[in-house]
Amino acid sequence: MRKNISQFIYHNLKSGKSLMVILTLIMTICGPVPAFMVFSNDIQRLNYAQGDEKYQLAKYANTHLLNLFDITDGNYYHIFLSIICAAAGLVIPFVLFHYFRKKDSADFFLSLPITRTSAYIANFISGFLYYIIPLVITSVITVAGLNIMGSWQFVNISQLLFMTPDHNGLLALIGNNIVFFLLFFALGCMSALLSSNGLNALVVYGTINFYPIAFMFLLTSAAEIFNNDIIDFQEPILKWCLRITPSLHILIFNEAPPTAWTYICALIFTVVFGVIGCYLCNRRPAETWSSAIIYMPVRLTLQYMYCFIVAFAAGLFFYYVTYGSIVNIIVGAVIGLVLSFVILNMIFERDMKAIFKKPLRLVWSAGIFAIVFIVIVMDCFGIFRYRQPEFSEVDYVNVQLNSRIVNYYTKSLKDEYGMSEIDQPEAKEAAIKLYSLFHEEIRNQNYNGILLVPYNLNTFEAIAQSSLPNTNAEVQMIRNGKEIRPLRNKYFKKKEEYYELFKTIYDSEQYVDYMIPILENSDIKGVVVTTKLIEEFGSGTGTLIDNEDMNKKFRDALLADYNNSEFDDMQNSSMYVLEVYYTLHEKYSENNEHAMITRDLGTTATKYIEAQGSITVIIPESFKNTLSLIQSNPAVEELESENFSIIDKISHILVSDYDTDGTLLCTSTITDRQRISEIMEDIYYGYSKSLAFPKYGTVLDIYFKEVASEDSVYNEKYYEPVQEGIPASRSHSIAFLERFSNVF
Amino acid sequence: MINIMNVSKTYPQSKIKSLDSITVNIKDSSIMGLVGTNGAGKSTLLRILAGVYTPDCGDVIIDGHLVFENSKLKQQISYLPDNHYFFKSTTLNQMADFYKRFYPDFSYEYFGKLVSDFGLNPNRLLNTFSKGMLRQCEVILALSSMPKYLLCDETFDGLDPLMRAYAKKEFMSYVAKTGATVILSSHNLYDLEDLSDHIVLIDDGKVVIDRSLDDIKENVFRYQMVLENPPTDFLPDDIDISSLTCRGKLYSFIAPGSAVQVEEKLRNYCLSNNCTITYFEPIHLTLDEIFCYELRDKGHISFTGGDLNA
Repeated sequence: MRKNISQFIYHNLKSGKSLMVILTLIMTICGPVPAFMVFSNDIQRLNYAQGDEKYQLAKYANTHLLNLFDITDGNYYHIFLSIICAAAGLVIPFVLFHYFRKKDSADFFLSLPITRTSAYIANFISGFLYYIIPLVITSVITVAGLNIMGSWQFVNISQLLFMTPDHNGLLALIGNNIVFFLLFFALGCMSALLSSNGLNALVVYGTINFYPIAFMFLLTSAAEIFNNDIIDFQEPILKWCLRITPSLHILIFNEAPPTAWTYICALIFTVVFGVIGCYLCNRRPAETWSSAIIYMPVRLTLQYMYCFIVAFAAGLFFYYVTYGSIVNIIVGAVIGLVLSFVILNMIFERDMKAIFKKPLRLVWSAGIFAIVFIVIVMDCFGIFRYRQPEFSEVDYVNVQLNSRIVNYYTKSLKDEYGMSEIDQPEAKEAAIKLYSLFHEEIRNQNYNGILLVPYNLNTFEAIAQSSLPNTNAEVQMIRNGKEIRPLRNKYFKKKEEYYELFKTIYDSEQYVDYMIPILENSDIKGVVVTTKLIEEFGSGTGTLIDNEDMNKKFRDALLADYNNSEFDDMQNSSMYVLEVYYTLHEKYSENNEHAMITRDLGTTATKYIEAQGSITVIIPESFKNTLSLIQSNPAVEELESENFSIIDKISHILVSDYDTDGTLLCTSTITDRQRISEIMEDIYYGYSKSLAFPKYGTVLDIYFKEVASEDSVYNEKYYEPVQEGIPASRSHSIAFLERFSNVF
Repeated sequence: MINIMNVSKTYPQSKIKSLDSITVNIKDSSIMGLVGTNGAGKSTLLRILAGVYTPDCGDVIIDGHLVFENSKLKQQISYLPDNHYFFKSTTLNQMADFYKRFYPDFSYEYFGKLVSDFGLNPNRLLNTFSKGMLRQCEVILALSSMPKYLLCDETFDGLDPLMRAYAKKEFMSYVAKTGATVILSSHNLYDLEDLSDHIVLIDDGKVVIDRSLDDIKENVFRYQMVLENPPTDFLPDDIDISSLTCRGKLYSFIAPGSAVQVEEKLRNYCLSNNCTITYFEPIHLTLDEIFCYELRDKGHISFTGGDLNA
C-alpha cells in the first residue's frame, strides 16, 4: 500500500509540475514583489530608526514583511494570498480527482492496482505538496531578496525574520498558512468528489465556505431591520453560526492573530472534511461521472441553502430599496426564491423546465425558508434566550468597575479589587426589574436612539453616565454562578425608571463601601479634554496633557471656545479633518514622533501615515483657539483641513468599533438620513474610557499621574482614564472644567 | 478462474438496467468472446470485472477473491477500455515507466520487443499518434504488464488489417506462452471467431449463449437441399426452421440441432409428403450468422423473414 501511495504521489508530482510553477509565479507576484517595493521605499527609514532598534525592526517586520505568509492577518497582501489559498484549495483537488469526472480516465485510474483509499491519501499528500512547494519557494525568494536588499542598505533583515512582537516568527506564520490551506484543501477534495464539473464543485465549495459569512451578513442586516440595532453576536444561534465557521473569521473578518478556538475549529473541520472526502472517494460510483452532484440529498440540501440565502438577500434588498415594510421583504424573498431555484436547476439539471417538473421542491424550499426565517427573527428578538428570572434564582448582583479602572486600582491599591457583590434584596429586585425592563423595551422597540456600546451591560453604564455621578460600573446579575446577559444595547425612553433602579443598586451599602477607596484616591492628577468623540472611536486612545504650560494653554483655549461660542454654533458647527504634516524634528526623534506631536496638540490622531509624516485629526470648526494652538506647534509643517459633513461624521462614528484585543464588537452602517438626524438630537455614547457629548464635540476624561510615563508611549498603556461625573449640558461642562482647574 | 455470479447493474442516473443477474464462469487459460448488441452490457460487465464499477448485487470472484478494491488481484489484470487514456505530453516509454510502478511483473524486455514489432517510436509524444497507433500502444502496455487476466473492450477496433492480424497473433502467442485468460469484447465477430474458444452472448443485460465456440458451431447449421416434388408449404413441424429461402427446387434454411438429426427428420418429412431429397448439405454458420440467428426474436432485427416465393 505504501509503495503504491508513494508511486502515485511521484506520478502526481511529475504531472503537476506546471500547476506548481503557475502557483509559484502567482504567489511571487502577490507576495515578495510588492514586499520588495514597499521595502525599498521604507528601508531608509529603518536606518534612521532610533531607540530600540530591535523593536523597530520587529515592528516593521510584523507590519510589512512577515505577515505575507500569514493569511489570517489583514494587511494588503493577505487579500491576494487569501484568495490564492482559497482558490488553490479547490483547483488542486479538482485537478487531482479529475479521473472521477471523465469516463476514459475513470476507466484507466480506477482499474489501476491501487485502492481508492490509497489513491485518496496519495492525492491528499500530493495536493498538499502542490501548495507547500510554491510556498516554500516564495518564502525563500522573499527572505533571500530582502536580505540582499537589506545588505545594500546596511540593515540586517535576517534578525527580524524570526522576531516579531505578535507572532513567533516566520515558521509560525507559514504554519498558519498551512493550517488554513489544509482546511480549504480538505473542503475542496470533498467538493470535487461530490461534483461532476467545476461549476458544481464551485457551488459546493462556495456554499460550505462562504455561506456562513453571507448568512451572518444578512442576519446582521436583518437584525438592524427588525430590531433597529447593531447585532452583538450574543444570540445563541448567531453565536454558534460564528463559532463553527473558522474560515469565515479568517477570510472576512481578518481575525489576527487567530485564536486557539479558530485553530481548533480549522483542524476539526479539516479532519471532518478529509474523512468525508475519503469516504466519497471510496464510495463514489464511477458511473456517475455525468451527474451534477452525485448524491441527491446533498444536491437538495445545497439547493435549499442557496435558495434560502438568495431569498433572504432579495427580501432585504427590496426592503432597503423601497424603504418598505415586512410585506416588501416577503415579495423580495419570493422573487429571490424562484429565481435562485431556476438558476440552480439550470446548473444542476441543465434544463430550464425542471422547475415545472418538480414544483414540490419549490414548495419545500419556501417552507424551509419560512421556518428558518422565523427562527432567526425569534433569535434576533432574544426569545430563545431571555426569561425573567425569579427572585430566588438570583444569587447576587455584581457591580463592577470598568476593566481598565479595575486594572489601575488593582495596581494602585495593591489588592484584588474591582467587583462588588451585592446580595441585598432591594438591589436584587432592582436588578431583576432592570433586566426585565430592558428586555421589554427591546421587544416593544421602545427606544429612541442607537447606542453604540458593544458589550451588553455597558448599556447601563452609558445610561447611567447621562445622569448618575459615578458611572463606570457594570451591573451583572448572577444566577447559579453564571452571569445573565441581556441582549441589546439601546438608549431607552424610560430613562427615569432606569435611573431609579440603578440608584437603588448604587445606593446599597455594599456598593458605597466598595467605592470609598476609589473616591478617596489621591492619585487624580487632572482632566484631559479631547476634542472629538470620533477620535476616541477611531483610534481607541485618548490624550494626556502632562505639560504644565501646554496644559494651561489648551484648557484656557478650550474654555474660551466654550464661553465665546453660541449654543447653535456649537451644535451645528462643521468638523474639520485636519491633516498635520510634521517634520522629523530633532526634538521628537528620541521618541515616537507622532505620539509626541499628538500629545502636544492635545488631540488624538485618527490616522498616522508614517511614510508621509502626517497625522489626521478631527476637530470642530468652532474651536478656533484650539486650531491656532495646533498651528503654532513647532513640529507642524503644514495643515490641511476639509469640511466634514454631519452625515459623514455620523456614518464614521457608526461604522465599526473594535475592542482593544481586536475583537469586532459591532458593525453597522446607517444610511437613513432621517434616522441619523434623530440620533443627532439626543445621543449618548458610552465607551470604556470616554464620555461624549456630540452636541459639543467634547469628551472629558480624567487621568492619573503615574500612568503617563515615558515608557507608556511604547507599551501602549498611555492612558488609563477614570470617568468621573458627566455634565449633562454645556453649562455643566464648563462648571466641571472650572471645578477641576485647581487640580492641574 | 473468473466466477461472475448473479451480477446485476443499474445506472443510477438513467435507471437503465445494464446487467440482469448474469452468471458466467470463465476457465483459466481460455479466450472468451463477449458479444452482444449495442448497449447490451458488455462494457459494463468488463468494467465490473476490472474493478471500476461495483455491481448492485452479485459478486465477481477472480481466483477466489472479490475484485473491487483488491489491489493485489488487480496487479494481475490488464483492462483495455474502449476509450484509451494516456497522460498529456507523455511518451510510450514514460507510460511504460508508469505501468512498471503499478504492475510488478511489467517486462521491459517484452515491451521493447512489442514496440519494435509494432514499429512505434517509444520516445515520440503520444498526442502526436493516430488513433490506431494509440490503440497499439494500449495493447503493448497491457501485454507488457504480463497480466494473468486481460480484459479487452473492442480492442481491435481502429487497427488496420495488418496490425489487427499482428495484434491477434500476439494475443494468441501471449496466451499460449503465459496461460493467461482473455475476455474479448468486440462487434467484429470475425476477430472473435479467430481467437475465442468460448462465446458469451449478452442481450438486454442477460446471457443468451454461454458455450464453447465448437459447441455453438455444432449446434446450428445452415442447410442447403434440393427437393423433387416439393410440397406447397415446406414447414416440417419438428424442426425449428428460420431464414428459409426457396429458389426453384433449392431450399436454404437455418435450423438448430446436429446435422444428422436434422437430416433424419427431413427425410422422414419427405417420405410422408411424397417428395425426395436429391441434394443435402449442412454448412457451418459464421459467428455473425449465429449472432443474428440467436437474436432473431429479440426485436432487434428481422431474421425470420425468409421468403419462400422469392
